[in-house]
Amino acid sequence: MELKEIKDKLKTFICKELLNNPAYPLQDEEPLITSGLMDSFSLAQIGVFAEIQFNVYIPDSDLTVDGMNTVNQMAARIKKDLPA
Amino acid sequence: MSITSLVFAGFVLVVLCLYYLLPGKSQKLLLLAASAIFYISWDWRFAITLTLVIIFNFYIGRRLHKLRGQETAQSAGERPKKGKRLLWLGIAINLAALLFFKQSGFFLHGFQALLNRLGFPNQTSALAIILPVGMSFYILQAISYLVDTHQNQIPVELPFIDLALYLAYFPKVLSGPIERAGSFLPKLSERVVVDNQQITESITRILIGLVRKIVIADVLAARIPTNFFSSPAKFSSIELIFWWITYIISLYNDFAGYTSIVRGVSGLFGINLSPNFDNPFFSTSVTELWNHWHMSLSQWLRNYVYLPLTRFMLRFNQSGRFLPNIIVPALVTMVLSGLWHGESWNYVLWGALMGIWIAAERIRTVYRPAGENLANLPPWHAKRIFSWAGFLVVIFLIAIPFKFDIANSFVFWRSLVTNWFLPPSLLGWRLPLIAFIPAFFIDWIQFGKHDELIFIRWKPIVQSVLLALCVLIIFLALHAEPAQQFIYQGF
Repeated sequence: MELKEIKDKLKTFICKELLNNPAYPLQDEEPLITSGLMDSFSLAQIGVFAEIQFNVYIPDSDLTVDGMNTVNQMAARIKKDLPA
Repeated sequence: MSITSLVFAGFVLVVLCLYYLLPGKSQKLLLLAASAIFYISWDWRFAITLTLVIIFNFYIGRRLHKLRGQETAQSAGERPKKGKRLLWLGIAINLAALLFFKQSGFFLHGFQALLNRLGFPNQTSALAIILPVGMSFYILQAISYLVDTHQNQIPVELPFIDLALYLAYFPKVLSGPIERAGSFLPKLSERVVVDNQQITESITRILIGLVRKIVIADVLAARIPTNFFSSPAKFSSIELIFWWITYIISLYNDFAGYTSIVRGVSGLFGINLSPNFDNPFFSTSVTELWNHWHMSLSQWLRNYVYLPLTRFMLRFNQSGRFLPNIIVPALVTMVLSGLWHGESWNYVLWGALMGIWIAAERIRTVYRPAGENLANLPPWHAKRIFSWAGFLVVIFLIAIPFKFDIANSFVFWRSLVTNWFLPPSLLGWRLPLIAFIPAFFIDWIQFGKHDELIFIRWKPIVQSVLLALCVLIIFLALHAEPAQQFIYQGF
């Protein structure tokens, strides 16, 4: 799966489920948690979304604000462990 | 050996001298030996428990590491399967050990009450089991080590000395910070260069810690009326507010002071410990408060209880708006936090109230109107005014059972409402008010610049005056009040 496809799916999920605004123009480098757009507890939902959508398990220790603050960071993390 | 004693200061100096005389490989051995001496100075029997915990977790960790290595064709993105039963067994035994020492008091009170009802005399002293100092903290770290090993966060098999140091390292063994295994272990090998800057920062932390503990916390604690927590009905509403705020400020400076001292001591060895406090009283929500108060415990609970439980529940219902997905993890996490703090029902109540409030904040976030995001909240001052109201609810409602037993918690709340017309005596209120000044000063200055060590960025003449003042007030405070045990050593 290409990085762009991962990002598109992430953005759709984040805007609809976490921001409650499917039309929000979310940018790839936009800080999601440090800006206050969503809180750090939403990372648990991101973790489960990655398991179900991409079959990638991200350990709880990697669900941090530093490592998962932007769509780019999330997509890169998912891509790293994506099954071949 | 209290960390505010001259004996401890001498101990650290001796260890430091030996540390920098020895070659690199021997330094870990020296730290371990020093940690053993420090811990045994509290009670040699405690050292037996700690040693057994280290040996047990070393064995389990080794087995977990071998099982992870055996998982063939294991994709990095899959949930670890092998070793799960062993991991749960390791966690269960660690918790059982902690529960045995901690919660024996919990059931002991009930058992003793039953004995009394049946006509038997008090046997409490004969049945009492003493909680080894620091056990609440090193058990959590042991669990962190096992989980991180299972999840491959600790990629290499750990030498025994590293695990022993991780659990027993003397600056943090008594009351943390609760260091994450994956973060702390590399620090043992990749130590920070101890240059002039590191020394200055370390000594500054020690000094700030001593002011917090000796000048603020101990002075305030000694002024709280002895019957305040047992007979709140005897106090007017104004007194209840004043002495409760005094206790909160004392508690905060006691623990923040401890953390500052141990971080400073450890920094002299080139091992930087994690912060535990970040000006928590400037938080705008309880959720934010727990990101700034006892941060190492909050992060442990987040990583090993809240997140796993939330993910577990989300796998059954993926909606973040499903109320059980919001309420249950928050409630369970905070009740466990309560039980960790103490072995009585008031701590359970405290945890439950905290959990309910955090869940309520989360529900407000999740159910906010479409299009509104947290970044569009009112300006800073309006946000703070609203949050002050919530802050008062937290301080005078939710936090009360942390210190008052359940019956007296309700007495406190009732008296707060009904005792406005009791004449306040506020005997001995002047010194606490004076102690509030440095308490407020330190946090206000640090928060204003978002810099814990802002004081060493000031002009040298100002630093010199401040240093002299600190030494003077520490000396005066020590002369006025005997040193008291750190509050969190009791947890």
